[in-house]
Amino acid sequence: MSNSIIELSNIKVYFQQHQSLIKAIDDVSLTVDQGDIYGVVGYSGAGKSTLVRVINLLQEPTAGKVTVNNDIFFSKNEQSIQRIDKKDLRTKRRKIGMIFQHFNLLNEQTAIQNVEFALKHSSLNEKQRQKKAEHLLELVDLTEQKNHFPAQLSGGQQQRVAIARALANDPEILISDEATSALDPKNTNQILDLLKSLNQKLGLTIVLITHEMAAVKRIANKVAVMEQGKIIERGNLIDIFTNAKEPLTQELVGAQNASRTAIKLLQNYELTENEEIYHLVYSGKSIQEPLTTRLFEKFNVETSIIYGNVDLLKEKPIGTLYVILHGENKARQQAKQYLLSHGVLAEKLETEAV
Amino acid sequence: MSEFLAKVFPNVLAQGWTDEAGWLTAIGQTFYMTFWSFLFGGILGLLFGIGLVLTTPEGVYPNKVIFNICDKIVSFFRAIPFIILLAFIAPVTQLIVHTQIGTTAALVPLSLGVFPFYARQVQVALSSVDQGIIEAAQSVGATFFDIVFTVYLREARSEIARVTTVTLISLIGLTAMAGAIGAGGLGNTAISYGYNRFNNDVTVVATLIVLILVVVVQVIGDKLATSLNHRSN
Repeated sequence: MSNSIIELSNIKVYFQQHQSLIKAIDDVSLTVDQGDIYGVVGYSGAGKSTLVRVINLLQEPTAGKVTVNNDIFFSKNEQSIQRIDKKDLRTKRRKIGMIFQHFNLLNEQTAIQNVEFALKHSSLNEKQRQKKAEHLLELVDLTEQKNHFPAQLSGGQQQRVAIARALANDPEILISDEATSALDPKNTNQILDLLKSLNQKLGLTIVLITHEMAAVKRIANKVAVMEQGKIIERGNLIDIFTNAKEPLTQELVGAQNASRTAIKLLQNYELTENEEIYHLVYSGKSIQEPLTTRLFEKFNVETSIIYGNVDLLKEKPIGTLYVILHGENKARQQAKQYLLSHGVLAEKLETEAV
Repeated sequence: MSEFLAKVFPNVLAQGWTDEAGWLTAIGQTFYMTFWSFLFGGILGLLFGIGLVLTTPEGVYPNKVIFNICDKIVSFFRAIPFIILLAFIAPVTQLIVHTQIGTTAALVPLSLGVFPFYARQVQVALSSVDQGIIEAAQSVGATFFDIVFTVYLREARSEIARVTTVTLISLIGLTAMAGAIGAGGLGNTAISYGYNRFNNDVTVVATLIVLILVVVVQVIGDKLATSLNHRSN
């Protein structure tokens, strides 16, 4: 068996609104593996939240199949419909934690009561529940605030209570629905780092919905990009960041802005016969190599840097360069091969496109 | 002092205290009617209010049939002016309490008069609970009872205290009309013994007592609503 923990196949969520049919989710399939931090990005209204609500059936799909941990939650096609039993669903939902943009804590209950609420139907007795809730609050560093009401806590603290609540039943999956979008940058990073450490310590699989690429960049290992109810691009974080195909993805990862900056700089520059513009992306080992020096030494190709940027993806640096290579045609080809063989993505930019 | 009172309110003391027309009797009747009809009408209103919120198309347990039945019943009873309701449901009153007149007989129309008002108020109060909180509760596997009691009623308790105060005050107003079917009470004192007999002093004193009742209910209700609210601090 594969180690996939969430499997959504051909999910459709349609809403009838007045006379028109709204396709909130339009035939989307998504597989999340055990231990993934899967980022789902896109602008508001793209269907991200609707899609993840299908995972724990807070949103029942119009058609498609939902499998979580090898349990079929829902399956519907033209011929048949299969639904998990309501009571069973409640039990299984407890194994899928969920956190929200606006925290959604019970306002009339203290931090610890909020966590205990999630434990109400567990097999633990009252004392054990209290102990576990205290332990969870300790995990999110809120021991001192356990008797505070949500209104007495900051946004970041409220979200940490919500995380403690989401973890109460030892879930295998955590769904984060724009959980950092209402927080300031400092709290955002704290929450993201907390999620990351939960992923590492507890092996928690996380589905991270966000419109902030920075959040994905910080902790995700896989990304899916959504637009108008469809996943338009998906892949490993580094692939998406370094080699986005779709215009929206490029926009989200900022590649377009970078190339626009580069192109603007190039407008005042006329290429001679022996010059070509290259877009280089490098990461890992190649980042430490003195590549431009090598190009000159080996092939007598000079490199002028027009635009450069280094990004951190999951604490791994990714460099992007726009360069002009000066040299004989043959030497330039050799230089390109050399770069490619050293793990640098080298792509020639056509001057017409510029 | 009593000379002064006798001069300004000549008919007030003449009403006596515990006679049929006495002040304590009237106050007792008002309390009796308010308490019991508040209890019956309140429970009925709460049930209908919860039912409406849960079964609306956007609710946790959408159910068109139940929603429409609740909605129509509430709308129907709200549409009937109370003074007409008193007479209109007299046969039902006869069936339940075996009489159509008197203080106990008034409990039936009072309960039916106050419940739709309370149901709508409760509906509004419960609707103020953020949909996201309900979703979060569902995501941790909350049951029907968790959602009704821990989420809706507990989260909206301050709002419920507020609308209960409003309802109670409105109910005190309704009991004043129950005099029309011989239920007595302060309203009856003000009309029958005061206004109808040109004893204006009796009307004024009866009104003052009602006013004090209303203010006391309002003050306690406001205090309760504030102390139950932890949403803003």
